[in-house]
Amino acid sequence: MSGLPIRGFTPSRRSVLQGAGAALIASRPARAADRMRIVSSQKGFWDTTLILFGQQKGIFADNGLEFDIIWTDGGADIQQSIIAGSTDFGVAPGILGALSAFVKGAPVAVTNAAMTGSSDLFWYVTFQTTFAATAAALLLGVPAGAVLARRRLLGQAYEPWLEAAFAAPIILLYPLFLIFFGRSLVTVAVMGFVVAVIPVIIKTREGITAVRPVLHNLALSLHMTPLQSLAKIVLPAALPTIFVGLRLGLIYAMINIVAVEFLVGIGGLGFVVADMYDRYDIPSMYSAVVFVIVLSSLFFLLIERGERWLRPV
Amino acid sequence: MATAGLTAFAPSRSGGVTVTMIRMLTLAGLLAAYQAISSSGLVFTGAMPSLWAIGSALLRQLADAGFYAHLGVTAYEAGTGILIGGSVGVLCGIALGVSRLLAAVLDPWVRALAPAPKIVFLPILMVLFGIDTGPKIAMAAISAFFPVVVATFGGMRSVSPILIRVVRSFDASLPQLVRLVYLPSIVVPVLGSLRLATGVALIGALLAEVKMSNRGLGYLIIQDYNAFRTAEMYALLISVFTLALVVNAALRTFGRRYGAV
Repeated sequence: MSGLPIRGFTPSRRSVLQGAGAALIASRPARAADRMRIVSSQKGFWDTTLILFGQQKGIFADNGLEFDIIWTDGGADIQQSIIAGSTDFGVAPGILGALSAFVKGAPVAVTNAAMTGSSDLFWYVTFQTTFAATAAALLLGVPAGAVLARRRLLGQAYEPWLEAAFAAPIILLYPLFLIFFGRSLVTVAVMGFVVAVIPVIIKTREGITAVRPVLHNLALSLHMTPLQSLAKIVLPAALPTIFVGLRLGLIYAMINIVAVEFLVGIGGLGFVVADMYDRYDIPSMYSAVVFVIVLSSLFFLLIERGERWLRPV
Repeated sequence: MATAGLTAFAPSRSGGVTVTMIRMLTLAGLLAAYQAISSSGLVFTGAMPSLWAIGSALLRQLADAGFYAHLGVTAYEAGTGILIGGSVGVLCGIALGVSRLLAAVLDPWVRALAPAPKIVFLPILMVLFGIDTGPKIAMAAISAFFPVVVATFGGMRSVSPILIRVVRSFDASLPQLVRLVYLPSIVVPVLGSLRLATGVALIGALLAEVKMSNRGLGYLIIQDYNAFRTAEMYALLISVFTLALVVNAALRTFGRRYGAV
């Protein structure tokens, strides 16, 4: 509730409505009273409870603001009392009523919206979460794949499950992730991680298992420690396959992250597309779609370059 | 295959038994852990209902005729989408394979669009096709199109130039060339891509239902989520995942019969 203009309250800007998308100030002379009167619609809604909550917790009192709350039956009562000058500030008057009062020239002014969207709208949110998800998938997926390659029975047992999980519509689990991780960017990143880690594990195991026995024997005959053999022989030999997994992981992470952003509206490019659609700002929506495609191409290019740079020729 | 390195160690019978045992133990462990957390009171039971609650919700759901109506809607949307996207994908892949100019012009675009998140096209599709089954079918079609077109084009490029020259030297027309040389060489990659295409098309249709719909399994899931009917939501997710995995396994078996991986 940033920007609640109560502290800037002066007698000349007397009556204010603040609510679901609207808040109003009246421009008529002050009612002679030293204590503010705030009028709100029915008790118990989340947007009407805020003012009561702030009063009970002493948040307003800490800022030197004392007021009485008057509860009404709804938006019309709020507007009438403000226009008539018997109250100073209205909460949740209803956006349509507030707009029509304002348009018809009633002495009220909208101060601010009760609800604001996420401020983290921009591309770097998608970039950050995708990057974090893929990095985490790489850090955890490669060791997991290595373990599954070394412990053959475990690998045999879990391989079909991993393949099944790779083919499953994991994105549909996003309501569960929302329940467990809350409505935040963490949820988005975790969703990306879960889908990215599966191909990384599968491909790491595949790559390490397919390392030719002759190379293992070489490591043995050179008396390499297991760690040396892993670093000098096994990982370089498996690297191309691991990169296939990484590339799949990155694509899947980004697809799922943009989809969650689009559906849940926590922020990021997917949210921008959905938001522009909701506002019927079609040109901006198209530009956001293009931006998503550019970003995904960029990621793809980056990982291709990285692969060429790392791959032993 | 991943097991290629294991051929030296022929899997013994006891090995097979051990693998099954590992799976059973893991499954039992996961279920027990879930139930333990669920009944421990550490997590709000609304978020993790007991296995019993989920099981009975699943049974109720499977006995409900309404569920099958929604299932039919989703299957119709995804199926039509795969049909449209798949056939257009095959045609476009053949066109790209036949015309070198077309391939040079369009291939970078296809490769840029193929890995992009298709969900961002949904608002455009909703503007174009409204909010009924139209955008869901279109979403499934766009999702299915890319794996198929990439695979078809790959199959076309793998055709040996010698074969083409042989057929050309017999004065074969373009349709004959397509029928005799190209089509047989794209069957395997297309069948392979069909599995991926079906998976993404199903996801596309379900997500479109989640966003805006009053029918289909995606709609049911998000309704249960919004109403906090968590056990019912888990049951639906189990059904959807089972459906996806069964379709995937069936397509894999079907593809393998024709030599697809």
